[in-house]
Amino acid sequence: MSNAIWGDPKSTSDEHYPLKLLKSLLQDMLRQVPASGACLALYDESISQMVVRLHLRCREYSAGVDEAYLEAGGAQTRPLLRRNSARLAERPTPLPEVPKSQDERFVPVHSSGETALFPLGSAYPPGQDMIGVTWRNDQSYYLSHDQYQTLRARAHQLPIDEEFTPAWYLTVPLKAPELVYEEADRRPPRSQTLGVIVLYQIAPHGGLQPHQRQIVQQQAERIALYLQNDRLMRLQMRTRDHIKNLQHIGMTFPNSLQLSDLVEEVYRFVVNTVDVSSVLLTLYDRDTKKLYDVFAVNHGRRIDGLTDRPVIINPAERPRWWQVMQKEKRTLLLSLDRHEREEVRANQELLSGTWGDQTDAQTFLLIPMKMFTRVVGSLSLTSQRSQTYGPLEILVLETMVQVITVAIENAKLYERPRLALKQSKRREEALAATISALQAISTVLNVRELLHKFVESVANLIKAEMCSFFQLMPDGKDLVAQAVFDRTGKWNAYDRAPSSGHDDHDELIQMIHLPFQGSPLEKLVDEPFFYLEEAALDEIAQNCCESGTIFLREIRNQKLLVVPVRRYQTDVVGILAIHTPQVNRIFQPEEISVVMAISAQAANAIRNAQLFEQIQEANAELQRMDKVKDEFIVTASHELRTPLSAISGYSSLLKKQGENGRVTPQQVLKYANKIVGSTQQLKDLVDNMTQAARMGALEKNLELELVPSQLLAAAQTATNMLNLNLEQPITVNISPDLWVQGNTLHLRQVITNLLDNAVKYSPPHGRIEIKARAMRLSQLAEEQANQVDYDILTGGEDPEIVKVSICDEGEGIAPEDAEKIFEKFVRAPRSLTTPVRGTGLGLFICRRFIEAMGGRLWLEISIPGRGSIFSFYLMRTQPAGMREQDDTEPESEAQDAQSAYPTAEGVGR
Amino acid sequence: MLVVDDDPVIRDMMADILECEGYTPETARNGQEALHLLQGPQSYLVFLDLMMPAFSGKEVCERLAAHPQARQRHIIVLMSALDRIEETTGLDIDMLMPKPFVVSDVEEALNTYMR
Repeated sequence: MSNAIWGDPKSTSDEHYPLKLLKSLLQDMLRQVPASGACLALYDESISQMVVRLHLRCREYSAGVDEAYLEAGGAQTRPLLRRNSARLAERPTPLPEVPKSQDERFVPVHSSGETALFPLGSAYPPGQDMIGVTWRNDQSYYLSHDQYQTLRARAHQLPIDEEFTPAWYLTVPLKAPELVYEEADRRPPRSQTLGVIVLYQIAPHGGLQPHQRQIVQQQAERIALYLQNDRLMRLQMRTRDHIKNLQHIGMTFPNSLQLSDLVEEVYRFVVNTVDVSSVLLTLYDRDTKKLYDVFAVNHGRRIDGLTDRPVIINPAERPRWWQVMQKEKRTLLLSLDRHEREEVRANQELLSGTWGDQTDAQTFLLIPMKMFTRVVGSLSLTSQRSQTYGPLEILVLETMVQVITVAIENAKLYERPRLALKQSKRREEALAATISALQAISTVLNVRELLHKFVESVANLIKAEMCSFFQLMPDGKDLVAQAVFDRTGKWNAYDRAPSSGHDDHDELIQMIHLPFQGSPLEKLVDEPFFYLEEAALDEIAQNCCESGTIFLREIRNQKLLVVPVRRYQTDVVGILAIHTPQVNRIFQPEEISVVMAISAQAANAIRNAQLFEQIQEANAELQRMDKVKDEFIVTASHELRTPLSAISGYSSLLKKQGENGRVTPQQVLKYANKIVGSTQQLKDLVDNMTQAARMGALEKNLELELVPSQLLAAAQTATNMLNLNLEQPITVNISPDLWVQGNTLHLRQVITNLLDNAVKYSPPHGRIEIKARAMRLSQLAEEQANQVDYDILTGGEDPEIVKVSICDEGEGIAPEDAEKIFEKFVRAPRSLTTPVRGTGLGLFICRRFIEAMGGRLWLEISIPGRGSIFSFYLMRTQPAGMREQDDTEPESEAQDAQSAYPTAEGVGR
Repeated sequence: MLVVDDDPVIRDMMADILECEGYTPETARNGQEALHLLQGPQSYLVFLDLMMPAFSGKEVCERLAAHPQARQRHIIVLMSALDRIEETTGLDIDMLMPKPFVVSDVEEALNTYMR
């Protein structure tokens, strides 16, 4: 069996050769030597074999072609041959000048079949048959028929089955001139032999003379030259086509950035340029460090959808590809015919994958897409033909790949401004979000709400899972959580009892304390921001309260981004703690700058909100005071109206009775007394009010002139004044030898006030008592620890004092009001809405007066429904002879009053 | 005749004025005491103070309004400061005597209801 491969039926090989010219050249050669036939085998790149393309023979031996001619003019053969040889000797000119009549002496032989002599189209690999041997050895052979038959027999070929037997055969290799491949240095051409000519003589013949063989040689060279010329011409044409294609692709790509267009064009180009069965276009993205198979054709069948959804591959999955691209960085050409199976195995990875199994291919070509030294992708091709990719094609493909590489890179460059535009847009959006967050924060004036909004805004802007704000306590020791935003809700769920409301949640949050002083936080707080690593978090956790430890446990195995919140870039208000649960996410600089901007704004907003709350509180206080004052005016006017009514009533009665002349002196005295009493009451009330108004500022110290005052006298005067109108008995239980350092007028006023209160809040016949006791200050300190001026005691003195107590059996004062009642305008709250008499100034004024006299006034005890004891102490003193005279007047007045109202003494214990 | 006021000064004064007019008034120190008397069989000309702790004149009027039979027996003269006059609107009273008042105010009431 012949190993010859029949040419591809679709092959258009004939068109690749100038057969007409070759025929005439061969005929010319035949005319010059005594040969009856010649065949020309030419190298076929596609199959890498010598293929018989032309076979000419003398008419007389050309069976079936022109039998008539053979029969008619057979005898003329030899002379013609002779003449030819003679002519050859005479005229060695290479240009064939063939007479038309002789032109038809050698005609094409169309015989075919394995046993025919050099049938047209038969192909010979190197070493096969006479042609193959000539080709392989690149040598001319001159054989007899017997020798040829032996050669065939050795190759297990069938003997030639022809009607004739040639006498000899002459083979001549057609060598390509050397210069052709000078530039094609990529690889040495597999064959420099363009073809093989075989001449044979059928008629009995003595053989070729050396000069005749030289003629053949010369003619062969001529043919080779023509062939080469033709080849170059064709090459030039092909190159022109390639260049046109390249120009086209080069013009298309800088404009067309569509990947789909790109792959279409690449494919079209590849198909136009070379034989290809499968194509794979892979791109490499430096940013994602991934490979993308964007286009694949498997045995002529395109794999759809890759352009939109490329197959994404890690470079690690294609080590061989990676090696070729990154290390070798050059085109890889593999011949995968059956002799080189190892190549297939070694490059298995390149021959499979997205474009299917390519191991059946004969040729594999991998062209890297290079941009300077960077690899941006590859173009892989396979062909079912061996040796199909010649240096020129490879060069053309490489050029094309370079063009598209540049196009792709350009596209990326174009994309960059577009990306920048997109980024700036995104930044704008982020900025807008930041601004709206800032506005939201700035407009909130409730501190709590503000902090919640703050952490939420930050978390949303930088897409953090969890964000917490810790406030630095004024002592600078601890940080206390104020607001926690947790996107996962884990912390909330953990911390928030199901039924608890917002305030409870806040309370729980505020239990989270983190140490600041001496902790890593303090060391780092001057940084604009910092990450706390695990070690630092552990250190903090060690010095933490329980809630803080729980909180920190949440962020185990994470870093914590901390942004100190500063006001005016200096005062640290607190810290913003942002968790990084997503595998220690590192925040981008722009994200951190956003957080810092918001933090700075928040610091001011927090301050503003705090100030606002203070103002609101002050405002509320003012409003409360205003209301209190209004109430005061109402009650005060009522208070004033009572003595006023009495004065107006009695004086009008006096006037009327006087007019009628029915008035008795007793009546006049009685009415006058009433008028005087009421006038005194009115005067005291007005005094109280003006004094209280003058005492407006608590800081203002009252400067009273202090003189020794007899306590009993003061108490009696007060009692008598009240007893003018009262039924309640007042017991005065004071020794006359108790003198205190005080202001007589104000002392009396204090006692009057306290007794008046006792009367006011006591039921009828409720007992009221005023008593006094001398003691040391230290003694009082034992009884009433919190009512003693310790400055005096610690100063080494222990003065003698007089403690005065006013006891009643009234309704008492609730413990929560015990201190409030000493405030300006405040009266003990009553269960009913009915107004209470009194200005509400009494106790306030009393306390101020007593303190101005160097003593203290306090509510000693009060049991609701049972009664109260108000007490005060003053420094005890001895009567001063001269001063005493000033106080005689009220004393005598008191004596008068006492005689008029004997009940004061009568009920005494 | 009944004088109701928590302030002894006013009670005394009203008693003095009425005595001069020839009456002997009874007194009550608060609304509760007053209501106790008013619910009895006797008819009264009542001088009722509006503002009293624990049981005010206003409450007396309201309680009395709930007992028309008792109310019919009495004449109510409400003693109230002028600045509190709005609190008296809607109250079932016969006469309003603003504080501070003079003897002639009392006489007017007596002339209206006792002559």
